[in-house]
Amino acid sequence: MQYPLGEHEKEHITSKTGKALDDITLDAVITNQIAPDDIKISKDMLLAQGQIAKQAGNDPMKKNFERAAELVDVPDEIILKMYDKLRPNRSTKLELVMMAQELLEKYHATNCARLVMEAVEIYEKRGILL
Amino acid sequence: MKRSKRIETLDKRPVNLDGYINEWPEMGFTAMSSPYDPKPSIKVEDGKIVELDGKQRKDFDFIDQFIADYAINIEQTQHSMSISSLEIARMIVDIHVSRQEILKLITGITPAKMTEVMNHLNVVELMMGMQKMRARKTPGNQAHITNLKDDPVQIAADAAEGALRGFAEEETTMGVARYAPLSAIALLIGSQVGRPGVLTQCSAEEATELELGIRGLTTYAETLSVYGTEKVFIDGDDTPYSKAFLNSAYASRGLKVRFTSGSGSEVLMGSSEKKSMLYLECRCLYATKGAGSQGIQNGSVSCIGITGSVPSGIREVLAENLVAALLGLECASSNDQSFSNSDMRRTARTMLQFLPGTDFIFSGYAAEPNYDNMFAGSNFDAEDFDDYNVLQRDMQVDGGLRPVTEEEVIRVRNKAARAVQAVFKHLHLSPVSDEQVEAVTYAHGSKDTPDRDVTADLMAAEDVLKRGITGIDIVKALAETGFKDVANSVLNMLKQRVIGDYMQTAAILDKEFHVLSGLNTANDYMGPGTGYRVEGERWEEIKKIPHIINPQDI
Amino acid sequence: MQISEDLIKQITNAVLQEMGQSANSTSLVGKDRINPKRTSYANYKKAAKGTNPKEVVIGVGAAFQREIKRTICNIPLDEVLENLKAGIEEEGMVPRVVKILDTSDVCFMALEAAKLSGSGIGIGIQSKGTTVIHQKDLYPLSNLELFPQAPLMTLDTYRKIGQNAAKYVKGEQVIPIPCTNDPMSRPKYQVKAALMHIAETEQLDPEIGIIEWEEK
Repeated sequence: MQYPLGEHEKEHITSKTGKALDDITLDAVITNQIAPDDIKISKDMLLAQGQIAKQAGNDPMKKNFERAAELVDVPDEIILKMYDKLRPNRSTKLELVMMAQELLEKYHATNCARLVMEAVEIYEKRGILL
Repeated sequence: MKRSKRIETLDKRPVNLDGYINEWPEMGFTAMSSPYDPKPSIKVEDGKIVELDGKQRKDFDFIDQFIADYAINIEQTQHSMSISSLEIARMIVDIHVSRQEILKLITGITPAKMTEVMNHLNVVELMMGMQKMRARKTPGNQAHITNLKDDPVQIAADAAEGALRGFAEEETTMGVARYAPLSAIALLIGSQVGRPGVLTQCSAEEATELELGIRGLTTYAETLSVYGTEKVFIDGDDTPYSKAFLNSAYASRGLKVRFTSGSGSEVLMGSSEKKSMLYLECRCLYATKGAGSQGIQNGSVSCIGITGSVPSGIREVLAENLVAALLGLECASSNDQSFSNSDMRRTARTMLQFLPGTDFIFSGYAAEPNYDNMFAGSNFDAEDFDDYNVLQRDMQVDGGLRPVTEEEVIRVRNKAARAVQAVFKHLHLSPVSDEQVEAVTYAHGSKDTPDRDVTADLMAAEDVLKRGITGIDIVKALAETGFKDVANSVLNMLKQRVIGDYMQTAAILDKEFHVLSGLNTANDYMGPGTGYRVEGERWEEIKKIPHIINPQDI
Repeated sequence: MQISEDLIKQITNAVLQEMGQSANSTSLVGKDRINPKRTSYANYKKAAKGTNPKEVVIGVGAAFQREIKRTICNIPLDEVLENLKAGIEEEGMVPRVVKILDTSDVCFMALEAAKLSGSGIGIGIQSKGTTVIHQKDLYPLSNLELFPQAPLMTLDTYRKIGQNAAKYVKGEQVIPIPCTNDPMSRPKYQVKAALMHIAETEQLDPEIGIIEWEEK
């Protein structure tokens, strides 16, 4: 894979809904063939960008792309709610643990679930749980 | 006492209107080092960091723990920590040591060690370091696009002019927060009228900003604030963990993101834990790195009045920019807040980033008069455009801007204003009169424009959110009202988020939407004859300032 | 090792303290506070949650009218409070003042005031003069109106803030108070702002929380 993917891998790029990049055109927009979800990124593209970050020696960035790939299927409202719950003094331990479970079981978001569990541990120690 | 006329004259100079304070480490008023800063140390057991900068794991606060678990390369750390801080400082300015080599070494050092390294460098050495360590080969610049009335039509016109002048990114914010959706739409349209490929951002409360991004009304986000002490982080209503999650959330929707931090915030919020501003900023930058962010806006930013008030404060500002670059982060290096009454002092402060070049020299040059700047005033504003262009020409330095002609300025301002007028009408938002389009086209600032119907605007803003208007609706509205070229550009901006290339370090887009980032156009400076040089077409462009003497006229 | 480290720290502190006393009278090196003592509010009545739907709660900062008597631009805090209250009353609503001792962050102060308010609308005001109008169900760092540039505030602005807060209670379409902007207030006031904030923050007493405040 050669970066920038938009130039070297153009014909293989599809959006979250499977729409080919080249099919996202102005005509398609005007004739109502493009929905908001058609301009969202796919899991595969995020993982590919993660690989590129790793090749460039940036492991934390690769991990961010992995977490992002896991969140692709989480609906907008739920993502916003989850973020809000992770803020300080917003949740009980149980609420955060259940959120980790939801991430793991419903969305197979292993890395995100781990981040939340690590947060639970340190939040409890630092007294910022409800 | 009989007064000296000399001293009386000096007392009245603008520089003496600025605030200065003596060092007071107990309250955090100390720039580069505090007697209470920790000594560097690291201990790894079973693949886990159990001691960081003199603190045991059981005593870690949430910032320490996040840094230990996410931001330090465990395989590299023993080696990196064994090299003396002085030796690392020398490598940074040594033209024979490559950027890549230093980046690798730095992944293993701790925040306290980083602080020590910076203390070995004087201000010229810091600039030499920045010239080499900046991520992107060519420097860039970012504008603030705001006005006192939150007038979306003026936002569009100023965005168009700013884009024409060379800004690669444009950021807006509001006096009245609820204006956000209209500001974001106007900025998106205006920027693409001025120069296709300019990235746009609307600075708002975290959740609002994310929502605008998800809907495709902005193309990047910047206000993910991080802080150097736990108490201030909590006052900022976040933790490194929530910020890391938010960063991933943005990435999951294909948006470019950078974090923001800056020295002095902990002092201003009254919780510096007696540490130096630089050490606390290092903690911010490590948290940013650990969260997997591609970049940061830093350099004291809105707290420059604090950092600028203490001895060596302005040197510290460059040091924190350099720390960001050393961690491999894109650095949008502030210069975005008014900090001195003295023209001399404010210019000197900017030279520290302007001369070596950073990924974004300003993270907000006011592309409007400062009275309209809703980030409370930038260090340079629209009235300094020609000064800035002359500085580029005097020193043959690329500061990211270019001279323009009056005809071009009027043309793009008018087109942007008309495009917003058409889109608002098409989407049944608040009306824009022809009179307003005319006024905004020729305006310098909001003193030259008619007032808007604020109530109607705020209802329209609410409507945008309620009706779920997205970037696609904007594209359609532009296409159907005769602005097909602008529609195409906005669509191309939306397509970036399907590809994701612009989420890599220090990415901007050229006018054909090609990505220029720290990966495909990496900074390869290794002394004279290497790296980015101002030459060719770009140099010709920089030379063309207005008001040049024509020998034939004499 | 331990001993020598401690010793070094001790000596450093002693040296700093000496320097602070002799070299410069404006230096506070070695001192941890601006005001030596924290005022006790143990005997004050804890603030109750209001039930009056016409109520607007004003949450003032911990040092308000005590350690700090004037805003950053020298307006007496007694007059600031009078004008806020008068503004609320002019619109037919009822002000109540509380003092917030568990946070000095103006957004959180305003949100706590809003949560205590019978109407759900509250005003937070720091002793340096920075003010926010908040509503109980908004994000903490969001707001209805924010006035971050304390140096530009006048008594008239405070009166209008009171009026607008009352109008939010009545559910009217409110025209936000026009923003003012002075790019040169940062260089002049930011250090003073930091010092005032430190003076306010050191008066916090989270154990007490929020109290009813009727200081004249």
